[in-house]
Formats: sequence, structure tokens, C-alpha cells
Amino acid sequence: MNMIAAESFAVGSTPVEEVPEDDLQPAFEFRNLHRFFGKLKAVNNVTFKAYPGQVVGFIGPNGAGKTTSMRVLATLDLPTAGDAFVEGLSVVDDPDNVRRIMGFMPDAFGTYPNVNIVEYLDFYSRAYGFTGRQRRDAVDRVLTFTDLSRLAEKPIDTLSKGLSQRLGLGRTLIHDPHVLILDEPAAGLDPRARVELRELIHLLAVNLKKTILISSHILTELSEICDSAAIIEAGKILACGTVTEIMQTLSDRRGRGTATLTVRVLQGAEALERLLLQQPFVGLVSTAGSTLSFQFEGDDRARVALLKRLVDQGAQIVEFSGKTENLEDAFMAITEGIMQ
Amino acid sequence: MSGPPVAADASIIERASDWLNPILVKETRQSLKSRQFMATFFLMLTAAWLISVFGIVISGAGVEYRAIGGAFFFFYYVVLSVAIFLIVPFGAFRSLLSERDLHTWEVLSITTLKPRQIVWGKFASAVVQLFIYYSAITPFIAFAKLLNGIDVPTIAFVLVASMLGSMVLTLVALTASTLGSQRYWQVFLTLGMLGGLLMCLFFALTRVGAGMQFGFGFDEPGFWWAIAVMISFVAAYGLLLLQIAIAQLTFDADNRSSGIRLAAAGIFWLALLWFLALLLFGGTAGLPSATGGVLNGMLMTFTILSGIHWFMFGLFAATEPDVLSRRVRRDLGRLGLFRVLAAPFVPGGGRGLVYLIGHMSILLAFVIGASLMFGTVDELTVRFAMGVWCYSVIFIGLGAALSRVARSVSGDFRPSHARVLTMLFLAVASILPQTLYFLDRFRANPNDSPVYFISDPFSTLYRLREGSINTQQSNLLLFVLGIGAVVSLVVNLRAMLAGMSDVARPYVPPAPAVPREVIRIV
Repeated sequence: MNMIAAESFAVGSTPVEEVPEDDLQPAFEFRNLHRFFGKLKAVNNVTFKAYPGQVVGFIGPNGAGKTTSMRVLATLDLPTAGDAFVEGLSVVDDPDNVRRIMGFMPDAFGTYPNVNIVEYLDFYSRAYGFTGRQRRDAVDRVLTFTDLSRLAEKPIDTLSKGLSQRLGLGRTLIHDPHVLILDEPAAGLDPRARVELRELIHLLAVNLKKTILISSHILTELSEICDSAAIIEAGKILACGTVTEIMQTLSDRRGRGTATLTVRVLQGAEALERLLLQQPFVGLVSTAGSTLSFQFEGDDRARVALLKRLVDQGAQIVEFSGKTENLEDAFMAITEGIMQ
Repeated sequence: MSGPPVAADASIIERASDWLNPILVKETRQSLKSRQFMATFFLMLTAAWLISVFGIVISGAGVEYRAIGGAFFFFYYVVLSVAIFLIVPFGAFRSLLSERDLHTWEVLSITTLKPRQIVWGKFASAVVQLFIYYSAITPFIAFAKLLNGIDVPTIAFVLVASMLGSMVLTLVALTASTLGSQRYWQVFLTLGMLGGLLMCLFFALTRVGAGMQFGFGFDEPGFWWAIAVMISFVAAYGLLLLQIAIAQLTFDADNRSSGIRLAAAGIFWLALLWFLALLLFGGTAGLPSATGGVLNGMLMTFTILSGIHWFMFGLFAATEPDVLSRRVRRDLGRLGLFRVLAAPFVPGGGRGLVYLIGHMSILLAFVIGASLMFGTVDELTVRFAMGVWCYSVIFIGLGAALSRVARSVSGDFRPSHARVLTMLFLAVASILPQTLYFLDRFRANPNDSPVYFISDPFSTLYRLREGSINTQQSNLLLFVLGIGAVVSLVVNLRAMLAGMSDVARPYVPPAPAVPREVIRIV
């Protein structure tokens, strides 16, 4: 087991703050990576790394450079400058060995006609050099993991989107890679298929100890899977670190102690708005029906005092809560919507 | 959950399949389930069966005493030809092309399969289909033989030659399918491929028809020598096509050039060996003798074909970027002498020019050598070969220099741009003096000095060969061309030397780069 504690990978939790030792080999690393297409700087000096067992969310608007970076890491593209490494192997110098320990699931991957699930997986196990018992075991293992065994004989061009994605993930796992690169794996999936895929990814991280780099637009889901994230925009990394670190920084940026609070009242929202504006630490009050939101700069003690004052003044409060900042908030706060 | 469907005790066939190319296994499985294959197979059987039934009915009692096997064989051959000259190569073309269309290529390319294995796998699966179609038609052909009118050597020759022809067409199709990734280009290639295959089908049918009518000439030794030469060249060009297809599928930073350079050189050396065999053993063992005018004509043809061959491959090699990727550098041999000798075959424009000049010089030396050894060689042939050498060096040297300068100005300049520009330059250089002369003709004293046309290689080489100019003018032309070639060499000398010394130096792995900046939270 690496330096990062296993319990840190529970879905929905932030990892135990155990910083890896400097001498621990990163599972993957982008090092001053540049990828230009003519004048377009698709990836502009991207540098970040992940350690074994981490699940890293790669977040950014469309055209930010996520897929380009991932393609370089997957040995499908060459950097204009800089390099990327998988377990210390350069994707530029040593792509053959990188491919043995890395699995890539692109956002769109095709399937072959007249091939069923087991034949598809069998082909890829052969393509990765497995023979005999080893090959059959690899196929069985993936069928079992993805729960596709009962559909093994089903032609793959008749599979639903959800099953196709599951098969795609299975194909990515056929050679038991240490690092998985998943580009928008949940795109186009219905809610049930998304949940199933999320559970598979969770299992990969927790049970199989894979290092995963995953991009998605569905940030609420990513925040449940990932223990760290890298936010990219216009080819540049704007933030990276554990989800907790990013949230903390966001909080620091807004001012320490600032929180968004929400109050729902039975009646008298307008009166409560006037009342709130007279209270200390309160600012930016907005009303939507019977619900009011406002910025509050006080600490927990001041929050208790505020609630008591409002109740004393006769406000009929049904709910009083603080809004939890999530990855989506961080993304919206950090990125500027730059298109390139 | 149900148990794993893959049986623990694999069959012997499945175990044997471990030794086969994965692409071959997959494609064979796909083919046997595909509607196209089943339809072709059963249509073929139905057509052959109908030919048999209607053939017998039409022949009537003639079946008993007339030799009608030849006609039957030809009709069966027509049915077979559609499958092997049209469907199999086009299927191979579509198979590789559809890897991109179906978005399966990227996933396939990051497996541990090498491009070579992918192309061989596609080729092997086409050959398997070929054998299946042959096995389907074999009983009908045996039936044709029983009807008399056709002999076993003719049947064997036609079937073997057709199989080789189909294999070559499959290689051409596979190579063509790797050439275009854009949709419009793929459509163009598909139409071109279909048209080309139809033409080949027509050619095969007319050739076999004529051969059956007039005989193939099995009794003439020259026929078998021609077949041997043809097979050796077909195999060599097949290898070259494979190398081109493999290069097209190979990652940019990998070595995409050495295979093609080696195959192109192999073809040249093969031609040289055949020519040498003709010179040394001509007139014996059924080989035609090559002396006097025949030898001159053959040397001239050899020089023209070699010149075209080297101009094309030289242009491709010399316009490559000079930079040698770390990956290629790492894979070079450790032995210094080997690296130096192999340098012309290593990717890079400077080394490409050395590769061209080296082989063009061998060609020139061969022509001069033949002239000295067999005194009957015409002096004009030698002058012609010198002219070809000079023009190749001038134009390809120009392309290489242009490529280097343009790349230093813009990173977007690609080798293909340099190749197109060189060809355009060649076209302008050829057309311009002719146009000016045409306009000049209306004046009282038009300039018709051969030097006036020197930028046009076609007319100048024609003059050198035909002797329509006197020796003095011919010497002047070769002198000017020689200066042009020297200038071209001087312009490219630095790149050539740098390219050679770059390879001669042993590879030292780069020290691990230290990141300039590790971004945490911005």
C-alpha cells in the first residue's frame, strides 16, 4: 500500500490529509506540458501530478484542453513541448511501455460490427499480448467486474449507451492497467447508468487501487468520486490539489468566514429581508418567494446569535441553513468562461 | 450473477489461435458472421452452379465429345474474379478505413499491437477469405477439367497468378486506406479504389481470355524468366506498400521512414541484380542476350525507371524534418560503424539527400561500368545517365533546402508542402522555357540554344539521349548541370553532414527534466 491511506478513498469523502513523500513515484505527471495547434494554445504549460490510488477530476469548460492533455498522457498525441509521465515513463520516449500500464477510455469510442461482448474483450486481451489461460482469465475478470457475463454473447452494436460505456470501461481494464484515463465516461448516460458507472469507478479506486484521471461536466458526480481535482481553462491549470484544498482556497479568496446562508420562512419574507439588512455581518440579501439567501461574515457564535435575534423579532423560520460549497461552486468561481 | 462464459478448457483451435495475429482472429470471426461475406460466398456458389447447369443444357450432347472445359473454366473464373479482384481487396480497404470511421482506431492504436501487426493482420484475414473463395470454386474447376479442353498447367497458372494478383491488390488497397483521414479524401480514395479494382478485373479477364485463346507460352524459357522477374518485383513492391501502410499508421515520433527507405533501396538493388544477371548470363539458360542496341535500350530504360524511382523516394526522404526524435535515436544500434553505415536509412532530410545521392551515384557507376565492361554501350547513354543524376540532385536538393528554410520560418510547414512545391517548381521549370521559346519563335532569330532549355529536364534529357545536339553542346549542358548539382550539394552540405554526424554520435538518455513550476492553488 502506498503512503495514502486506503480509507481516504471512500466515495464522497475528502482524503485524509496525508501528503505523499517526495520520493514516492507519481502514478502520472504532466510536466510543463504544451500542445499547440497552429496559433491555438490548446494546452499551455500544464503541470500537475497524482500519486498511486488517487482519483483526480479533470475539470474545465469545453475547449479548455482536457481531452488534449489526456490524449497526450494516453500516448495518442505528442506534446509541442514538455512531457507527461506514467509511473516515471515518458509518453514521448517510451509509449510502448506506457501503454502496458495505462488504460484510456475516450469520450467516443466505436465498436466493431458482428462481434459480441466476449469476442470484443477477447480481441483486446489478445491485442495486449495475453495468451492461453491468462487471456481467458483476463476476459472473465472483466466480465465479472463489469457484470456483463450474462450478456457475453450479445452483439456489441446492439448494446445500450450505458452498457457500451460499461463495456468500454471493461476494455480499458483488460490488461489490468495501473493508471486509468477516463474522458467524459458519463456523457450521455441516463441517471441509472451514471450511478452504476460511478459505482464501478468507486470500486476501481477503492478495491483495485487504480489511479484515475477522470474528466466530466457533471461536477456534482465528480466531487463524489474524486479526492483531488485539477481545474483547467484556456489550456492553463487554474487550480489543482485535493478537493478540500481547492474549497479552502476558494473560501480564502472570498474572505475567511464568509458563507452563504439560507432562511425559509412561513410568511413575512419582505419583513425578514428588512430585518436581515439591519443585522451585523449580513450582506447581499436576495429573496425568492419565501426563501432568502444572504452572505454572512460572522463565525458560528455570531450565526447562533443571529438566529436567536430573528426568532425573537417574530420571524416564522422554517429552515435556517448554510449552503455547502461544492466543486461546481469552485469551478464557477475559479473559471472565467474564457473560450478559445 | 451467472458464471464466466469462457470455457475453462479451451479447444485446440482456440489454443492454436494464440499463435495467430489478434487482428486475423477478430476479422475472421467478423467475416464469418458478416452478411457481405455470406452473400458473396453463396452468390458465388449459386452463379457457379447456374453456369454448370445451363452450360450442360446448352452444350447438350456436345458434352460427350466436344472439349468444352475451357469455356466452363473461363466462366467460373469470371465468378471467382469478381470475388478476388473486387470484393476481397475492397473489403480490406474498407476494413482499415472503417477503423477510423467507427472510432475504433485510437483505442486499437494504444494497445501493444504494432502497426506492422495491424497491417499484417488485415492482410492475412483478406488472404483467408481468398482461400475460402478458392475452396468454394475448386469443385467447379475440377468439373471443368473433366470436361476436357483445358490442361492442368493452364488452370494452375491462372489460379496462382490470380491469387498473387489479388494479394497485391489487397496490399494496394490497404496502403490506400491509410493515406487519407479526412472525409472528402476518403470518398475520393474509395471511388478511385473502386474504379481501379474494376479496371484490374477487366484486365485480368481479358488477359486470361487471351491466354486461353492463344496460349500462355509455357514452352518458352523467356516466359518463365519474365514470370520470375515479375514475381520478384511484385514481392518487392508488395513489401514497399506494406512499409508505406505501416509508416502511415506509425506514431509521429517513431521511425516512419527507414522501412520505406530500405524497401525502395531493395527494389533498386533487385533491378540491378536482374540486370547484372542479364549482362553476365545473357544468352544462356534461356535468358535473352543483351548486346549492342538491345543493351543500350535496356540500360536506357533501366536509367529512366530508376531515375523516376529515386526522384520519388528521394523527394520523400530529403524533405523530411532533420530533427531526430529521442525515440528513434534510442533505437539506433550501439555499434558506431553500423550507425554510420545505416545513417542514410535513418529518418531526416539531410540523411535523405545522402540516401538519394548515394543510390543515384550507384546507378551512374553501373551505367559507366557497363559501358566500360561491354564496350558496345553508347556514349549517349552514359551522358543521359549523368544528366539524370544532375537533375535529381538539383531538384531534390532544392526541395530539401526549401523545406528547411520554410520550416525555420513557420512550424506549420509540413514535408508534404515541400514535396508539392518541388513538383510545382519542376513543372514551372519545364514549361517556362518551352512557353518563352514558343513566344520567341515569332521573332526573326529565336534562341534555340540547348542551354536555353536547361531548366526543362525532359527536353534536355531527350536531347542528350537522341544526340540531336553535337558533343560540344552536350558537354556544355553537362557542365552547366554539373555546376547546378554542385551548388545544390553545397547548399545542403551542412544539413547532410549534420545529419550523418547526428547519427554517428552515441545516444545519451536525457537527464530527467526538473519542472520549472509546480502549480498548486492559483
